[in-house]
Amino acid sequence: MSQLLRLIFRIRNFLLFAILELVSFWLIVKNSYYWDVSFFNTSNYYAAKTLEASNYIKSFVNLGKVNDQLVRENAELKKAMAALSQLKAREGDYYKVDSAFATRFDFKVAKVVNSTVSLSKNYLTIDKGKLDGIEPGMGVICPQGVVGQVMQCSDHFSRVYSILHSEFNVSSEVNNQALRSKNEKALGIAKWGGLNPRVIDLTTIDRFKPIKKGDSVVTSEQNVIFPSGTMVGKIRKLGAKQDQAFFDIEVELTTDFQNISYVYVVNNKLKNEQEKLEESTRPEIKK
Amino acid sequence: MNSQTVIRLIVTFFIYLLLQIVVLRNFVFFDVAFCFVYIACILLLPDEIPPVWVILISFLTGLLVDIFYNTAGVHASASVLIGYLRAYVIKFLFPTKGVENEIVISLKDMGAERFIRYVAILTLVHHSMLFFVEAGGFAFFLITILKIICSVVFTTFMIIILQYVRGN
Repeated sequence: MSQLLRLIFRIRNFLLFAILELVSFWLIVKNSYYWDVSFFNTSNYYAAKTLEASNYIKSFVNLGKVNDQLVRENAELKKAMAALSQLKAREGDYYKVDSAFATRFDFKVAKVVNSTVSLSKNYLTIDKGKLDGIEPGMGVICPQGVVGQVMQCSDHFSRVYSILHSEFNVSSEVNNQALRSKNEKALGIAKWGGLNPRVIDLTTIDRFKPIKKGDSVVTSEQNVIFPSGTMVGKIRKLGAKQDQAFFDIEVELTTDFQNISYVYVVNNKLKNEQEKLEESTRPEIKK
Repeated sequence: MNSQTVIRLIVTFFIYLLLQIVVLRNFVFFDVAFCFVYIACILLLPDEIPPVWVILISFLTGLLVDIFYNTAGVHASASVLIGYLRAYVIKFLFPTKGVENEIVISLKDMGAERFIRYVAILTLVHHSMLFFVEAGGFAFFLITILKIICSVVFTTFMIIILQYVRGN
């Protein structure tokens, strides 16, 4: 008997090991049958609390990926929204929009890799180029508003005129209640003055139009490169000299060019067709 | 072993465990390289702790990790295995132990080569057991082997890095 005890004592490590392995495997087997009744899983309160902290860290690790997903989803939504708003004709018009026209805008997401705001002709560089289907002439907008127009493309990058460029015009209109109720339009041309990267000038608006400070300025329906109704900014200062026919308007841009990161490149699929038609019919007007 | 050493051991134990559960649980590279750095709790226990205790601590560690991985028993079985084999590996790698007396298990005191060999052997044993048990046999043999190799490299690397972090 004492010999047996001595043997047991000598192999006590192995016995303990064997027993604990048996317990482990019993847990494994039991767990695969009654998954959620076992104490040893995350339904345990303390385990769940700790995992919460762990997921918090995980969410930071995945931030970049989530950002990409959101931006892509936004592009899809923008496309759908533009199509929808283009499809809806103004009230009282006997005008029907056909779907090819309404869905003419296509959005692609790009990331701004370089930009300037302090020069007199400012440009942005984005990380999408010819291989991603970007072509010179496409419009560029961001969630806050108008950004510019694609100027040149390499295979993987594109250079974009910012609207903070002394030779770049945006056909815009003022949008407010008074104008809408009178069924009037206040069309003008937005152009950068060259100094403040937060402010753009709006010219050629009739000084008898009912507009006031704080009204929003959006791209007009005559705009070929941007979907109509894309935000440009809000009127900051309004004035007119006695002998002038037009307002002098300063518009505060909604786009923050200093902190711009993601942009959408807008492709107007009917742009070429429209321009070709206008180009080919021009000489006939002269005659 | 005085009480100060015991407290330091317990603190280290929880730091490794927290690191595993909160941070490294989320780091899986290419779906094959896992990092189970918690086994350092077992590997780095001082040599003077009796084997019975090492085995019990291993089981407890494995069980705690299991709770968070929802894999009741899988980590526990692998951990108990290395807890049991640890003494033999030490005897095998350092046959002069009895002569030189105490051996301190850390990168600084053992030297890089011996330490890496010690960690790599036990990590390999642990991960082999872990992944084969988790796969429920040898059905996914090749992918399991791939997982084991990648994870052994990752875990060993991580344990060594943490040794440097702790040394400073």
